[in-house]
Amino acid sequence: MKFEDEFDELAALAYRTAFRIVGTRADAEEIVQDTMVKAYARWSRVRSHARPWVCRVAANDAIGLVRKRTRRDAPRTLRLSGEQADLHDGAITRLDLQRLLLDLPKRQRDVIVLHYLADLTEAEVADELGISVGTVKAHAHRALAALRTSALTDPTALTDPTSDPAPKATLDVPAP
Amino acid sequence: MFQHLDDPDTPVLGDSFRERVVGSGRARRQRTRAAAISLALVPLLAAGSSMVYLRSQADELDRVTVGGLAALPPADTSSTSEPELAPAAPITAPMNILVVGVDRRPPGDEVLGSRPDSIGVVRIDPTGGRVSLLSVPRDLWVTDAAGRSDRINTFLADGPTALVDVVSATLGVDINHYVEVDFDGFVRLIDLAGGVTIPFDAASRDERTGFMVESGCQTLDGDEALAYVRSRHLQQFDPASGESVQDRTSDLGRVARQQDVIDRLFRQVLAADYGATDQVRLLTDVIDDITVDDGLDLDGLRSIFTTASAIGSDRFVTSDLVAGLSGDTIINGNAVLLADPAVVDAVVGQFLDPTPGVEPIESEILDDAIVPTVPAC
Repeated sequence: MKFEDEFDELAALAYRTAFRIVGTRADAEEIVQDTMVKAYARWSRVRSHARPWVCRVAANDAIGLVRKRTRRDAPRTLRLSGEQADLHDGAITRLDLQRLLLDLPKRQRDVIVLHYLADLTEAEVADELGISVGTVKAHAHRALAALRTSALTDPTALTDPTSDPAPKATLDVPAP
Repeated sequence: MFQHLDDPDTPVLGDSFRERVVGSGRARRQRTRAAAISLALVPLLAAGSSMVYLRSQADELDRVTVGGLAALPPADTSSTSEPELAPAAPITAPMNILVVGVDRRPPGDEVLGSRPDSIGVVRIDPTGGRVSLLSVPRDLWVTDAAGRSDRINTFLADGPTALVDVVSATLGVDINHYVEVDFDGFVRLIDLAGGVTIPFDAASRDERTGFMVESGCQTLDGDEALAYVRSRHLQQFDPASGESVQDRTSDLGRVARQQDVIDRLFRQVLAADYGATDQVRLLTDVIDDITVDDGLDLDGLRSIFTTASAIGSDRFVTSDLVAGLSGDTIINGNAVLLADPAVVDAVVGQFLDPTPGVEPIESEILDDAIVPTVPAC
């Protein structure tokens, strides 16, 4: 696999993943460029699993950016709360997604990133993370439950997702 | 599932984008070959004035011609035969390096030239077993050999030679080498080191640089550390009054905080047990952001770094000229700092050849500066 031949597909994948998280074109493009430079520099080790690799790197960069902004803009966010009516549904969901990604345990986050943000198949995700497809489903389900909870109820409910003993029964509910 | 979050107008990342990526990716690959020099780069950059702009293309350092530099005896090369693998030859005589951190303007905005944001002389003294940093305030009023007087940070606009000359003349110190680091390099260095941990006495902020932290031990990433060391209007929350109090010492407080950050970063980096991969990343990424005089090559840098590493963090001392400054002078509409020559001589004397037991010259001016009082986290 030549890097140049894969470039367009990988860059598009990285862009989609990053944009879904950061929501701004300039940030997403910068993340894609960084990601692709890293991929090129390490291509011999990356090429065998290039698609999930660029998704993870782009997502990690994007989450890092969100984390940095969240910390720095904390007081400003409070001041903006009066303008929330201006935010359309998509933006609210992105905020929920960002908060979820910041708070999720690492494994659940990887699954969300690869399966739902990068749209990789469960089999691809399982392969990349070295876990079974069943475990992928379980992580995905738990993470989505947390996202729904946070979107519908108290935003602070996510501060310690690990303490939330996900009822075993919910694992039987088919993933959407 | 998250399709509604997609960019409705996804840009086409075309050929020019790919060429840019391949170009920088290739440069990064090649830089990793320069990895051998990296171990030693850490202490130097940490010990150096907080930022340096060195630029290299691939593994070729970017170098500029700098006049006014004093020659040194050659390094002891008797023990090195294979330049690729052999350890670098240690330097044998004390070396003074002018290190400047510059606020490099974007291309096209070159009218004013680069302005040093911080200026320092790093002395590597293998005979005395010391690494020392003497910080020079950027607003110091100085006069060069041709009789031109100005703030010291304006001289770089005429090229590094002018700055080297005026620093030598002002301090009475031979400068042997010149190293420049820009803000990007500083940010990258801090990030690669995993951040720098500072024990803040109270919640602090600077509304102009966007810096803001809670009290207690805080690990700053590169951008945050840059905002902190650049802050000239730092405010600290005073729990007694419930109000924020601004540092009235302005640039002097800033220099004091820079020294504090450099000191902590230096000790932190030396104390950390970096794996080989991290070290390589640290060095190869940072080397892209420095420029040196053309008397320095990679072997020369390796020698400096090896020597500084061997001396170690507990033999690292910082000093400044603050005690000799008077700060209420306005010349040509600019606030400038005048230095008492007697104090400069005394500080420089200690910098070059410390007399054991002599305490550093402290200044009451800095009693009002906001600097962490806790030694470590």
